[in-house]
Amino acid sequence: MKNRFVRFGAIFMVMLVIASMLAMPSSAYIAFNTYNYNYYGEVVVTPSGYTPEKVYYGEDLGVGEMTNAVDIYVSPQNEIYILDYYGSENIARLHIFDSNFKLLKTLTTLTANGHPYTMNLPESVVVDKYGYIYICDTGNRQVLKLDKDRSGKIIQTIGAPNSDLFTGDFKPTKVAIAKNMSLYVICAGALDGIMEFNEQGVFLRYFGAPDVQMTLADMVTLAWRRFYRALLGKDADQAFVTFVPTEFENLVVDDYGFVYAVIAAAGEENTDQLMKMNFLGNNILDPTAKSTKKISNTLSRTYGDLVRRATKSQGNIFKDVSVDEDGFITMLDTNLRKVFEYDSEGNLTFVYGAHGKQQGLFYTPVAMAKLGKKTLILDAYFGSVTVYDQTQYGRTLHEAIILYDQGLYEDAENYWIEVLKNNANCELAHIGLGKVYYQYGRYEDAINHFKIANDRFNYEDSFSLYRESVISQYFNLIMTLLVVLVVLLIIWRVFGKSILNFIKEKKQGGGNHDDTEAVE
Amino acid sequence: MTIQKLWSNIYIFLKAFYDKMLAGRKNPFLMITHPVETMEDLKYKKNGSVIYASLLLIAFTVSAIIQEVATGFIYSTLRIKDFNILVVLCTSGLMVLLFVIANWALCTLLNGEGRMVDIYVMTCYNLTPLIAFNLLSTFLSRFMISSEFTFVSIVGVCCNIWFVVLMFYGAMTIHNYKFWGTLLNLLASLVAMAIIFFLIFLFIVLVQQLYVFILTLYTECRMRLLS
Repeated sequence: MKNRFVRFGAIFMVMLVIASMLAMPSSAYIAFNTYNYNYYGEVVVTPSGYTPEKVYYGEDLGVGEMTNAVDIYVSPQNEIYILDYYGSENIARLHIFDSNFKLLKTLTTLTANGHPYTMNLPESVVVDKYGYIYICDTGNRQVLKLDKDRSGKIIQTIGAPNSDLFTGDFKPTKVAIAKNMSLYVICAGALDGIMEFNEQGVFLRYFGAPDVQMTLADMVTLAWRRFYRALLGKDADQAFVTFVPTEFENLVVDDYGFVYAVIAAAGEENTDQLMKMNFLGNNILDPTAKSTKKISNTLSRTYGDLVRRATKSQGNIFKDVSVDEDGFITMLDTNLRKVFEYDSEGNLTFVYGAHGKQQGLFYTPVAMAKLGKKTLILDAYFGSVTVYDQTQYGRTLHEAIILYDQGLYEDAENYWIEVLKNNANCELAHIGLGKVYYQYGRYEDAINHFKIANDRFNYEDSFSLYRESVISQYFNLIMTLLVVLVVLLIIWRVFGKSILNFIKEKKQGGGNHDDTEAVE
Repeated sequence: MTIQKLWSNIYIFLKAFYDKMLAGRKNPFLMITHPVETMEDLKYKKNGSVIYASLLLIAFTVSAIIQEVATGFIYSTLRIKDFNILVVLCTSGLMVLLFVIANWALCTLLNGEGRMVDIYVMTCYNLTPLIAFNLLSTFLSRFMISSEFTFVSIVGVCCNIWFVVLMFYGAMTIHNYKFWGTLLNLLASLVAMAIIFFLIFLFIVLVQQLYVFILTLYTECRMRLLS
């Protein structure tokens, strides 16, 4: 009897364990909502495009505690470079890892012409296609170029340029290197835009300063200032504020030489926080050409959160930008602790991440890099690197967008259908599918999809063709009816009177006849 | 049997209503073909009908609502869940009433001869082109693309000009003004409408504050006396 109870108990326990294992979720709980914005600028929650995969702390990476991490960069050779300050003296270190986070080298002291050289609060690091390392040594006011053998030998320094264009203090904060070896530098306090140096380290030009964005109050102030200047001359300017362009926060260059730059823009009524600049420094992210246009032009031009927040401290502050091999642009918001991902046209694809100390969230994110499709986020508070990997849904959406950008609309069809199965609210997918059906000549399906996505421009094209097809379908019927009607009208006009007379006469004759009969 | 009786009763009622209220009154559709004559009849024979005018005003409001709701996808960004009928009422029907009040208030100051009924009837009779255009543009917007819709916009401009001319001539006849007097009267009416609107807004805000004050007083008294 007792044995039987024990046996039942054991079987019951085993079944319970198996049941609980079966019931376990296949993926871990994700502590944030991934979302997107619809045509009206409202938040629409979407399936996750990226999920936290792993968190690497300094100890895991074999470099000890990273107390003050600054920058992370993934080189064209897929090696990971992390810059941090160590200890109370803030000694700068550069860690080099391979793509599996295996430590390859840590550089603390560099050598310049055989003498040891210590970096003073460097702020960013990049690597070119040959493996030369460029470090923005902000405290020492110069950009260092290190040899590619990772020995820490400085082979070139770029200091304050000897140019009439350049005035003030040279304080490089961010650096980017293009494929043609021109070096782009953002300098703290330089309001003229991004500085470009050539391979020899000669300063070439400033470019890409964003337009000054003024509110109505600013314009009134400006008009008032003009009035005073007319009265008092140039001295009047001292009493007024000056309107200067916003400084760029960070930049990155892609393989085609386009420069992507971000503006911090916290709480201000700013637009164009993200700029994709061509060689001339013109912003080529065109709000009128992108697929997911919003209800107003201002909303189309706004990057980051579209919902305006009441106070400055609740707005977006963008500190980092990076671009992957397919042209997807990722921006890091260090204030709301979110990552915004855009495609190469500037359509928002995912917003993910949130503020928190839980694993997979960010507490003090400082920098971000793309390792293939993965996103690496450097958190200064924990001294950790959080790796975000793409989900199946994210991969499908990316694949569809890549094919769509190449103009292979028909190849993208199955991917768009797959995306819509997961997320019926995806406007990009509706537009993509609409274009597929437009190519196939299925205009009725196309206009339905464009209508859901609120794409009036493409809707009109499909609609006019759909209208034509309907008219041609019923053309025979309509024309036959018209011809019959015209013939009937002509008959009526020609013979109408005589027919009426004939009927009248017959009626009168018949009536008379009847009467006579009745009388008889 | 009873249903037949009901129908005949309704018919008798409508007939009586028509004979008593509308027979011999000016048909508002004559304003389309004979505006000058109709306007002068309204003034001198006093045969304008308030009922016809009110029906036209209702038709105008309804046509504005239809235009808001049923305009084609290409020309309208409205979602039906964002539709607010009060906004449409305020911009169509109530605006006409506001104009009538403002114009009447002004004509007493500026030696106009028109009575309020005359102004109301005249204004409402003039709404016909606007109603026609609202319905026409709504209908056409459902199967026209924007390049073709230019023609409809031209018709719209024509309708608006027609409406302004009718209003101008109407005000001139009703109040027995000369040209400049009419212009002054109409422009001043617009200003008066703005002022009335401001006063209504102010009134609402003040009433709200008064309500809050009384409520606070009541709460305070109740707390102190009852506890």
